[in-house]
Amino acid sequence: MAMPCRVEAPCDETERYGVVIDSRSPDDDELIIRQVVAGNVNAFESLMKRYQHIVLAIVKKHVPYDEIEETMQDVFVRSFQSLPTFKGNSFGHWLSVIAVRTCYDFWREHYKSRELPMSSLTEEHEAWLNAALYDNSSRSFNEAGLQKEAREVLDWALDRLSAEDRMVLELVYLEGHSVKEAAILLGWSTANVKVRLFRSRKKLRALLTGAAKHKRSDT
Amino acid sequence: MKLSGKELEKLTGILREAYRAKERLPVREQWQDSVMVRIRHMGTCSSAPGYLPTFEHLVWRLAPATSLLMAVLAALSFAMNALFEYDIVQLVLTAVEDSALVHLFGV
Repeated sequence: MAMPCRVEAPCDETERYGVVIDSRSPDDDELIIRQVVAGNVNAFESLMKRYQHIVLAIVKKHVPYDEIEETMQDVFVRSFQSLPTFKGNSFGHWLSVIAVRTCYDFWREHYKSRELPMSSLTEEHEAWLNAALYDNSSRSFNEAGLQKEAREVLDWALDRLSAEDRMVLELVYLEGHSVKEAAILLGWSTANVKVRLFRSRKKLRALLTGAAKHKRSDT
Repeated sequence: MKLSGKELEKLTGILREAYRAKERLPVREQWQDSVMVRIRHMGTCSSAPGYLPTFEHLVWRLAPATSLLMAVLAALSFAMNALFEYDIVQLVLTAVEDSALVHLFGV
């Protein structure tokens, strides 16, 4: 059996998401894509299984946990529909772009249809926030239990941003993509990404500042 | 009271770690079956490009020419309107002149 290898992507998408996939080459991908386009729909399953890790790594981070499966379906159905237009060298990168844009569409729809008022921070969250800020002890806030609260605080803050601000902040600030990579993934200009990033960071800072109650003397 | 740069950096570092930990969340694999069901229901993905992508491509290619044409048409329309108004004014003035001549000389 051949050793597993990494699929090459123009902007190191697979590297960034740390995904190792099976040993078949991009030529194999092209062959399967041609089969699917020619009408062999079942061949798409092997493509899906080969690249699901890349898509999962993206979707898990960008959408709420209970929406992951639905969004995964949307990504692969969209990629199936767009398969005849695929002309690139890297199917993985092409799929990453579709995955990021599907997540962006998810948030656009979510914000459009949102009727319920946004949740507010609980006392536990505020306590966690203050402890994270002013606790000088050696305890790690990256432990599993505390990470849940960290995620909830982050979700609370991100929920107060627009879909555009949210996506830019997640891609560049939280995931560490460059502005150029984020622009490619979202299909925006780099100038637009830069402006959005500046504004969204400012908003996030204001949100966290407002949420954190400064009780230095208490902590 | 504002958070200092150091405090904010510490907080965002923790939040960043929590964000990246989302990648380790377990997900069931049932969605794969649902994808294949949806895809089989859809049938083949047509290799012939649809009209919409072709049209979209043309839209961007023709956008500068269309903008220029619109600007020319707008200018022309403005000029024609001005000419039209000028003609009407001239017509009225001529009519007034004619009636004055009739009254004066009985022409």
